Amino acid sequence: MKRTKINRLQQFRDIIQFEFLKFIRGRKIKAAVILAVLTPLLIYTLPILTSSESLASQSSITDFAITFVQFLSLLILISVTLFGGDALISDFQDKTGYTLFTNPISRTSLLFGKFVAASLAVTIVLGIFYIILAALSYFFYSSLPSNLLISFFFAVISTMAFLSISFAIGSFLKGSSISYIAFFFLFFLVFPLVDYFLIVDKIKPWFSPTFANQIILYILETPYPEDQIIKIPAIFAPGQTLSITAYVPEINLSLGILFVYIMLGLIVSLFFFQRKEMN
Amino acid sequence: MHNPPMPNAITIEGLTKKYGKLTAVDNLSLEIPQGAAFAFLGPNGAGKTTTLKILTSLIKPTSGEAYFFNINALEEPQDALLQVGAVVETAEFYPTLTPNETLEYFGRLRGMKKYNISKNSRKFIKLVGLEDWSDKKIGTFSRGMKQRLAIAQALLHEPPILLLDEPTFGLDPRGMAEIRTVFQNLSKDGKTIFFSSHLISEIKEICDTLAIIDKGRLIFSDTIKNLTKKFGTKDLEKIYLQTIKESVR
Repeated sequence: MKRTKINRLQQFRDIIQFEFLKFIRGRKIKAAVILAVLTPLLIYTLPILTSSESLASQSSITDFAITFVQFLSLLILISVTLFGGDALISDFQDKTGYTLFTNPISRTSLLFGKFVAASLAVTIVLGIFYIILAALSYFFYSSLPSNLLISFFFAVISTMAFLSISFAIGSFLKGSSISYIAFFFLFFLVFPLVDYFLIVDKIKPWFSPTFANQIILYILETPYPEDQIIKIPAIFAPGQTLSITAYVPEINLSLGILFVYIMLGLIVSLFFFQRKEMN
Repeated sequence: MHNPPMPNAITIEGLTKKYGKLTAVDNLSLEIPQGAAFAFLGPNGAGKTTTLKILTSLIKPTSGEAYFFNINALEEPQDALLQVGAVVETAEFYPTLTPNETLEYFGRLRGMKKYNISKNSRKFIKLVGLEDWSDKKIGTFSRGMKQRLAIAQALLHEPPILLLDEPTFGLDPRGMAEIRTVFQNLSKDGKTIFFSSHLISEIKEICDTLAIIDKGRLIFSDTIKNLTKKFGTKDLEKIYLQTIKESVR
């Protein structure tokens, strides 16, 4: 009887390579790339079609870039749903686990391999979006928006945090549809509502991933903005004003929060994924 | 000098799997010597697939032990799985990969050298009759073709033990005959085969030992030679039906 020792690091690399190959050949990456190309093109062409004026003619390069990056959160959420929503479910749901798991594969290597491959796939999608934004900026302003590369880096970190949360959700659910719905519900309803009510109560939602990820946007402004009180006319009391605090996420704290979400999400995923059975 | 006894290829001790109140496998114990072609027979829901799933670490048992040679399959599943090639349930593969890529992936996961993966992929893809399809995406494959690939991946690393759950499921009669010959040859080569099937004709041609399981419990386990002597007939189907009938009573 032969006893072979498996090189776990090599196995981890092989998993990344083949998981990434599956993404590259699949329909999801095509859909996400189309979105990454269409989104900036629509942001640019729609104002021209509706008001006959282009974004470039009415704003500074910073405002121009901010207009585009405002829509990035949506692209991140859709891409994360596509690449992370069923990453830990598909082998059970599609029965590929009956062949994959009969190999001496470590669930830890598999989980981290899938996570890295999904992060790479979403990074490519984000990269395309930023390249188009950079090209448009250079075309109209002959320069690039300040901190564009840092904004891209923050977008990648945010993506990893969101992916980690989507992995955690998928690790204990059985079907991919319910996982997609749960992730959308959390990021389109729960977190934004929590952010909103805390801000109304004058509490800064520094711990929320949807609040922390706004550093992607604010980093494009120079200098980096600070919290400010905005006075707006009170609708039900004519002549009076209402003060609202516009909170801005702090860079270091937000990066720390996003890293905590990455770690927590992966720990939760690992806990459930290692216990998941091919019933 | 006294040689230590050769360990069994597969040893199962008091294996039990419960799903709530349902006991799928009930205190199952088996010893399968090296080189045996062992048939695992039982009606639907008897616990055959559950047993195979436990042996291949797809599910965890409620209690009990299982060993491949001297390796505890439940405590050291990855070391144990290196000794095993398995076809469990209706195998599925990644639709965007080709058979060559799938075997390369699984070979690498098993720590095989590049040269061996390439050599064995060619050998076993040819053996299961998929040589014209080795670079086509699996998404276009029929059930039978996927089953052939499942057999090729189980053989890829030339394991000493094969765990096969209805391995000819989905194959046409010619395919079944071809694959049966493959298993007969592997058995002659000294591989241990744990063969779960409903097809008694198939079992007769491949196996030398038989166990019948019903409602998760082992009814009996013996060589086919001893069984035919004991029951006074060579008709395995008759033996099987009689045993199940008595078990129901």
